[in-house]
Amino acid sequence: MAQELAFLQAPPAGNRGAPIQLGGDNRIILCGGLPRFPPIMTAPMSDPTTEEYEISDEELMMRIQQGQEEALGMLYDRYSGVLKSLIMRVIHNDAESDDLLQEIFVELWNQSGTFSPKKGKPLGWIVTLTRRRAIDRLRKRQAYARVEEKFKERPEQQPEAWVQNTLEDDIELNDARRVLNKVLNELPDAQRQAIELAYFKGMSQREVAAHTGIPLGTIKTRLELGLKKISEALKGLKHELTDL
Amino acid sequence: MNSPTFEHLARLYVVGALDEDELQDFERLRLEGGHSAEEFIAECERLSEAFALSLRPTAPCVSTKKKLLDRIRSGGPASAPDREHVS
Repeated sequence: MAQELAFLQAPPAGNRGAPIQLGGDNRIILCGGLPRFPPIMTAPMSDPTTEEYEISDEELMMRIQQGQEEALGMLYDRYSGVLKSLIMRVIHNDAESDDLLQEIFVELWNQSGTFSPKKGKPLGWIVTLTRRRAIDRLRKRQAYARVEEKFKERPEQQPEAWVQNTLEDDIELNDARRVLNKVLNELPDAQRQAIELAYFKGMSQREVAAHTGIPLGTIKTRLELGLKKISEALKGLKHELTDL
Repeated sequence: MNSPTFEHLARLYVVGALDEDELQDFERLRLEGGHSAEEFIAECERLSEAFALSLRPTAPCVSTKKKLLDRIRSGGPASAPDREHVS
Protein backbone atom coordinates (compact mmCIF):
# COMPACT_ATOMS: atom_id res chain seq x y z
CA MET A 1 0.00 0.00 0.00
CA ALA A 2 1.33 3.36 -0.88
CA GLN A 3 2.01 5.46 2.15
CA GLU A 4 1.42 9.02 1.22
CA LEU A 5 -0.97 11.51 -0.07
CA ALA A 6 0.93 11.17 -3.25
CA PHE A 7 0.75 13.28 -6.32
CA LEU A 8 0.57 11.98 -9.77
CA GLN A 9 1.53 13.99 -12.70
CA ALA A 10 -0.76 16.93 -13.17
CA PRO A 11 -2.36 17.98 -16.40
CA PRO A 12 -0.47 20.55 -18.44
CA ALA A 13 -0.50 24.10 -17.18
CA GLY A 14 -3.53 25.13 -19.20
CA ASN A 15 -5.60 22.41 -17.59
CA ARG A 16 -4.52 23.02 -14.05
CA GLY A 17 -7.92 24.09 -12.85
CA ALA A 18 -9.60 20.81 -13.64
CA PRO A 19 -11.45 18.94 -10.89
CA ILE A 20 -9.72 16.21 -9.00
CA GLN A 21 -9.22 13.94 -11.88
CA LEU A 22 -6.14 12.79 -13.55
CA GLY A 23 -5.18 10.51 -16.31
CA GLY A 24 -6.46 10.29 -19.84
CA ASP A 25 -9.80 8.84 -18.86
CA ASN A 26 -10.53 11.70 -16.48
CA ARG A 27 -10.82 9.39 -13.52
CA ILE A 28 -9.34 10.00 -10.14
CA ILE A 29 -6.34 7.87 -9.66
CA LEU A 30 -5.92 6.58 -6.17
CA CYS A 31 -2.88 5.67 -4.22
CA GLY A 32 -3.35 3.56 -1.14
CA GLY A 33 -5.99 4.98 1.13
CA LEU A 34 -6.05 8.43 -0.37
CA PRO A 35 -6.80 9.95 -3.72
CA ARG A 36 -3.82 11.10 -5.68
CA PHE A 37 -4.23 14.76 -6.17
CA PRO A 38 -2.63 16.96 -8.75
CA PRO A 39 0.33 18.87 -7.42
CA ILE A 40 -0.49 21.96 -5.46
CA MET A 41 1.72 24.39 -7.30
CA THR A 42 2.99 26.47 -4.50
CA ALA A 43 5.66 28.70 -5.94
CA PRO A 44 4.58 30.34 -9.13
CA MET A 45 7.99 31.79 -9.88
CA SER A 46 8.32 29.50 -12.83
CA ASP A 47 5.80 27.74 -15.01
CA PRO A 48 6.50 24.04 -14.80
CA THR A 49 6.69 22.16 -18.03
CA THR A 50 4.66 19.04 -18.62
CA GLU A 51 7.87 17.08 -18.34
CA GLU A 52 8.48 18.48 -14.88
CA TYR A 53 4.98 17.45 -13.82
CA GLU A 54 5.63 13.93 -14.96
CA ILE A 55 8.58 13.42 -12.69
CA SER A 56 7.49 11.75 -9.48
CA ASP A 57 8.64 12.84 -6.05
CA GLU A 58 10.51 9.57 -5.75
CA GLU A 59 12.38 10.23 -8.97
CA LEU A 60 13.22 13.74 -7.81
CA MET A 61 14.54 12.39 -4.52
CA MET A 62 16.67 9.87 -6.37
CA ARG A 63 18.11 12.65 -8.52
CA ILE A 64 18.76 14.77 -5.45
CA GLN A 65 20.60 11.85 -3.90
CA GLN A 66 22.73 11.82 -7.04
CA GLY A 67 23.54 15.49 -6.52
CA GLN A 68 21.34 16.97 -9.26
CA GLU A 69 20.59 20.54 -8.24
CA GLU A 70 17.82 20.92 -10.81
CA ALA A 71 15.87 18.22 -9.03
CA LEU A 72 16.05 20.15 -5.80
CA GLY A 73 14.78 23.21 -7.64
CA MET A 74 11.86 21.23 -9.02
CA LEU A 75 10.98 19.83 -5.63
CA TYR A 76 11.17 23.37 -4.27
CA ASP A 77 8.79 24.59 -6.97
CA ARG A 78 6.42 21.79 -6.15
CA TYR A 79 6.17 22.17 -2.40
CA SER A 80 7.74 25.41 -1.18
CA GLY A 81 4.41 27.22 -1.00
CA VAL A 82 2.65 24.71 1.16
CA LEU A 83 5.74 24.15 3.28
CA LYS A 84 6.04 27.87 3.85
CA SER A 85 2.41 27.92 4.97
CA LEU A 86 3.13 25.10 7.38
CA ILE A 87 6.11 27.00 8.79
CA MET A 88 4.05 30.18 9.02
CA ARG A 89 1.38 28.38 10.97
CA VAL A 90 3.98 27.42 13.54
CA ILE A 91 6.17 30.48 13.88
CA HIS A 92 3.92 33.31 12.62
CA ASN A 93 6.73 35.27 11.05
CA ASP A 94 6.98 35.76 7.33
CA ALA A 95 10.65 36.70 7.08
CA GLU A 96 11.71 33.95 9.40
CA SER A 97 9.59 31.48 7.48
CA ASP A 98 11.49 32.18 4.28
CA ASP A 99 14.75 31.80 6.12
CA LEU A 100 13.70 28.52 7.64
CA LEU A 101 12.31 27.27 4.34
CA GLN A 102 15.74 27.74 2.82
CA GLU A 103 17.36 25.96 5.77
CA ILE A 104 14.99 23.04 5.41
CA PHE A 105 15.73 22.57 1.72
CA VAL A 106 19.45 22.73 2.46
CA GLU A 107 18.97 20.06 5.09
CA LEU A 108 16.89 18.05 2.68
CA TRP A 109 19.76 18.27 0.20
CA ASN A 110 22.39 17.36 2.75
CA GLN A 111 20.37 14.57 4.34
CA SER A 112 18.87 13.16 1.17
CA GLY A 113 21.09 10.10 1.51
CA THR A 114 19.18 9.08 4.60
CA PHE A 115 15.88 9.01 2.75
CA SER A 116 14.71 5.57 1.78
CA PRO A 117 11.57 4.98 -0.27
CA LYS A 118 11.13 1.76 1.68
CA LYS A 119 10.38 3.75 4.81
CA GLY A 120 7.86 6.07 3.26
CA LYS A 121 7.18 8.59 0.58
CA PRO A 122 9.16 11.78 0.05
CA LEU A 123 6.29 14.07 0.89
CA GLY A 124 5.81 12.54 4.31
CA TRP A 125 9.50 12.84 5.01
CA ILE A 126 9.57 16.47 3.90
CA VAL A 127 6.47 17.47 5.84
CA THR A 128 7.79 15.79 8.98
CA LEU A 129 11.15 17.50 8.62
CA THR A 130 9.53 20.87 8.02
CA ARG A 131 7.17 20.62 10.95
CA ARG A 132 9.92 19.53 13.31
CA ARG A 133 12.26 22.30 12.24
CA ALA A 134 9.53 24.90 12.53
CA ILE A 135 8.73 23.77 16.05
CA ASP A 136 12.44 23.73 16.90
CA ARG A 137 12.69 27.29 15.65
CA LEU A 138 9.66 28.34 17.62
CA ARG A 139 11.21 27.04 20.80
CA LYS A 140 14.72 28.27 20.06
CA ARG A 141 13.81 31.87 19.63
CA GLN A 142 12.08 31.80 22.98
CA ALA A 143 9.14 33.70 21.69
CA TYR A 144 6.74 30.96 22.43
CA ALA A 145 4.83 32.93 25.01
CA ARG A 146 4.41 35.84 22.65
CA VAL A 147 3.21 33.66 19.83
CA GLU A 148 0.92 31.91 22.22
CA GLU A 149 -0.59 35.23 23.19
CA LYS A 150 -1.03 36.09 19.56
CA PHE A 151 -2.70 32.76 19.05
CA LYS A 152 -5.02 33.41 21.96
CA GLU A 153 -5.92 36.80 20.63
CA ARG A 154 -7.20 35.36 17.42
CA PRO A 155 -9.48 32.52 18.48
CA GLU A 156 -11.82 33.25 15.64
CA GLN A 157 -9.08 32.19 13.25
CA GLN A 158 -8.51 28.80 14.81
CA PRO A 159 -7.66 26.82 12.88
CA GLU A 160 -6.77 29.52 10.42
CA ALA A 161 -6.55 27.84 7.10
CA TRP A 162 -9.02 25.13 7.86
CA VAL A 163 -12.00 27.39 8.32
CA GLN A 164 -11.43 30.13 5.78
CA ASN A 165 -14.29 29.56 3.46
CA THR A 166 -14.86 32.89 1.81
CA LEU A 167 -15.75 32.87 -1.82
CA GLU A 168 -12.33 34.18 -2.72
CA ASP A 169 -10.67 31.42 -0.79
CA ASP A 170 -12.87 28.84 -2.41
CA ILE A 171 -11.74 30.04 -5.77
CA GLU A 172 -8.14 30.02 -4.76
CA LEU A 173 -8.26 26.63 -3.16
CA ASN A 174 -7.54 23.93 -5.61
CA ASP A 175 -9.62 20.82 -5.52
CA ALA A 176 -7.23 18.77 -3.48
CA ARG A 177 -7.12 21.25 -0.67
CA ARG A 178 -10.85 21.76 -0.85
CA VAL A 179 -11.45 18.07 -0.25
CA LEU A 180 -8.94 17.97 2.58
CA ASN A 181 -10.40 21.08 4.17
CA LYS A 182 -13.87 19.58 4.00
CA VAL A 183 -12.68 16.63 6.01
CA LEU A 184 -10.93 18.80 8.56
CA ASN A 185 -13.73 21.32 8.86
CA GLU A 186 -16.21 18.62 9.71
CA LEU A 187 -14.42 18.03 13.00
CA PRO A 188 -15.98 19.50 16.13
CA ASP A 189 -14.14 22.68 17.15
CA ALA A 190 -12.88 21.19 20.41
CA GLN A 191 -11.28 18.24 18.65
CA ARG A 192 -9.84 20.40 15.93
CA GLN A 193 -8.33 22.81 18.43
CA ALA A 194 -6.64 19.98 20.32
CA ILE A 195 -5.16 18.63 17.10
CA GLU A 196 -4.09 22.11 16.06
CA LEU A 197 -2.21 22.72 19.26
CA ALA A 198 -0.42 19.41 18.96
CA TYR A 199 0.39 19.60 15.28
CA PHE A 200 1.09 23.26 14.71
CA LYS A 201 2.36 24.20 18.16
CA GLY A 202 4.24 21.03 18.96
CA MET A 203 2.39 20.48 22.21
CA SER A 204 2.08 17.12 23.87
CA GLN A 205 -1.23 16.03 25.33
CA ARG A 206 -0.24 17.31 28.76
CA GLU A 207 0.87 20.62 27.32
CA VAL A 208 -2.40 20.97 25.46
CA ALA A 209 -4.24 20.30 28.70
CA ALA A 210 -2.14 22.85 30.56
CA HIS A 211 -2.51 25.42 27.79
CA THR A 212 -6.26 25.11 27.55
CA GLY A 213 -7.01 24.41 31.20
CA ILE A 214 -8.99 21.38 30.14
CA PRO A 215 -8.52 18.06 31.98
CA LEU A 216 -5.92 15.77 30.45
CA GLY A 217 -8.43 12.95 30.09
CA THR A 218 -10.70 15.19 28.04
CA ILE A 219 -7.84 16.28 25.81
CA LYS A 220 -6.83 12.66 25.25
CA THR A 221 -10.35 11.79 24.27
CA ARG A 222 -10.63 14.75 21.92
CA LEU A 223 -7.37 13.92 20.20
CA GLU A 224 -8.22 10.27 19.91
CA LEU A 225 -11.66 10.89 18.49
CA GLY A 226 -10.51 13.67 16.18
CA LEU A 227 -7.56 11.82 14.71
CA LYS A 228 -9.52 8.63 14.28
CA LYS A 229 -12.27 10.52 12.56
CA ILE A 230 -9.87 12.14 10.11
CA SER A 231 -8.17 8.82 9.41
CA GLU A 232 -11.48 7.19 8.68
CA ALA A 233 -12.63 10.10 6.56
CA LEU A 234 -9.50 9.99 4.47
CA LYS A 235 -9.96 6.27 3.95
CA GLY A 236 -13.59 6.76 3.05
CA LEU A 237 -12.67 9.45 0.63
CA LYS A 238 -11.04 6.88 -1.58
CA HIS A 239 -14.28 5.03 -2.12
CA GLU A 240 -16.31 8.18 -2.56
CA LEU A 241 -14.01 9.53 -5.21
CA THR A 242 -13.57 6.23 -7.00
CA ASP A 243 -17.21 6.36 -7.99
CA LEU A 244 -16.93 9.69 -9.78
CA MET B 1 -2.56 -7.11 13.70
CA ASN B 2 -1.80 -4.01 15.70
CA SER B 3 -3.38 -3.41 19.07
CA PRO B 4 -5.87 -0.55 19.47
CA THR B 5 -3.47 0.98 21.98
CA PHE B 6 -0.66 1.00 19.47
CA GLU B 7 -2.89 2.45 16.76
CA HIS B 8 -4.03 5.19 19.10
CA LEU B 9 -0.46 6.03 20.09
CA ALA B 10 0.65 5.96 16.45
CA ARG B 11 -1.88 8.61 15.49
CA LEU B 12 -0.72 10.76 18.37
CA TYR B 13 2.89 10.12 17.41
CA VAL B 14 2.55 11.49 13.89
CA VAL B 15 1.03 14.72 15.16
CA GLY B 16 3.63 14.98 17.89
CA ALA B 17 1.24 14.77 20.82
CA LEU B 18 2.86 11.99 22.82
CA ASP B 19 4.23 12.76 26.23
CA GLU B 20 7.58 11.23 27.17
CA ASP B 21 6.19 8.21 28.99
CA GLU B 22 3.76 7.53 26.15
CA LEU B 23 6.57 7.82 23.66
CA GLN B 24 8.42 5.06 25.46
CA ASP B 25 5.33 2.86 25.39
CA PHE B 26 4.89 3.62 21.74
CA GLU B 27 8.47 2.72 20.85
CA ARG B 28 8.16 -0.54 22.74
CA LEU B 29 4.96 -1.48 20.94
CA ARG B 30 6.49 -0.39 17.67
CA LEU B 31 9.37 -2.76 18.10
CA GLU B 32 7.03 -5.56 19.06
CA GLY B 33 4.80 -4.87 16.08
CA GLY B 34 7.55 -5.04 13.50
CA HIS B 35 6.54 -4.64 9.87
CA SER B 36 2.87 -4.36 10.61
CA ALA B 37 3.51 -1.54 13.04
CA GLU B 38 5.69 0.31 10.54
CA GLU B 39 3.02 -0.01 7.90
CA PHE B 40 0.45 1.48 10.21
CA ILE B 41 2.73 4.36 11.13
CA ALA B 42 3.34 5.09 7.47
CA GLU B 43 -0.41 5.10 6.95
CA CYS B 44 -0.82 7.50 9.85
CA GLU B 45 1.74 9.83 8.34
CA ARG B 46 -0.84 10.65 5.74
CA LEU B 47 -2.64 12.47 8.52
CA SER B 48 0.32 14.75 8.90
CA GLU B 49 0.58 15.26 5.16
CA ALA B 50 -3.12 16.02 4.97
CA PHE B 51 -2.83 18.73 7.60
CA ALA B 52 0.03 20.34 5.75
CA LEU B 53 -1.59 20.06 2.35
CA SER B 54 -4.83 21.55 3.60
CA LEU B 55 -3.06 24.86 4.06
CA ARG B 56 -3.32 27.46 1.39
CA PRO B 57 0.16 27.86 -0.11
CA THR B 58 2.08 31.01 0.61
CA ALA B 59 4.50 32.20 -2.03
CA PRO B 60 8.02 32.35 -0.67
CA CYS B 61 10.26 35.33 -1.20
CA VAL B 62 11.23 35.49 -4.87
CA SER B 63 14.93 35.23 -4.21
CA THR B 64 14.78 32.29 -1.83
CA LYS B 65 15.07 29.65 -4.52
CA LYS B 66 18.01 31.32 -6.18
CA LYS B 67 19.80 31.76 -2.89
CA LEU B 68 19.07 28.18 -1.97
CA LEU B 69 20.58 26.90 -5.20
CA ASP B 70 23.53 29.27 -4.88
CA ARG B 71 24.10 27.93 -1.41
CA ILE B 72 23.95 24.35 -2.60
CA ARG B 73 26.44 25.06 -5.36
CA SER B 74 28.85 26.88 -3.12
CA GLY B 75 28.42 24.56 -0.20
CA GLY B 76 28.39 27.58 2.08
CA PRO B 77 25.76 29.55 3.95
CA ALA B 78 23.31 31.65 2.00
CA SER B 79 22.55 35.22 2.83
CA ALA B 80 19.18 36.01 4.31
CA PRO B 81 16.35 36.03 1.79
CA ASP B 82 15.08 39.32 0.42
CA ARG B 83 11.71 40.48 1.51
CA GLU B 84 10.36 40.75 -2.03
CA HIS B 85 7.43 38.46 -2.46
CA VAL B 86 5.76 37.09 -5.49
CA SER B 87 2.38 38.15 -4.29
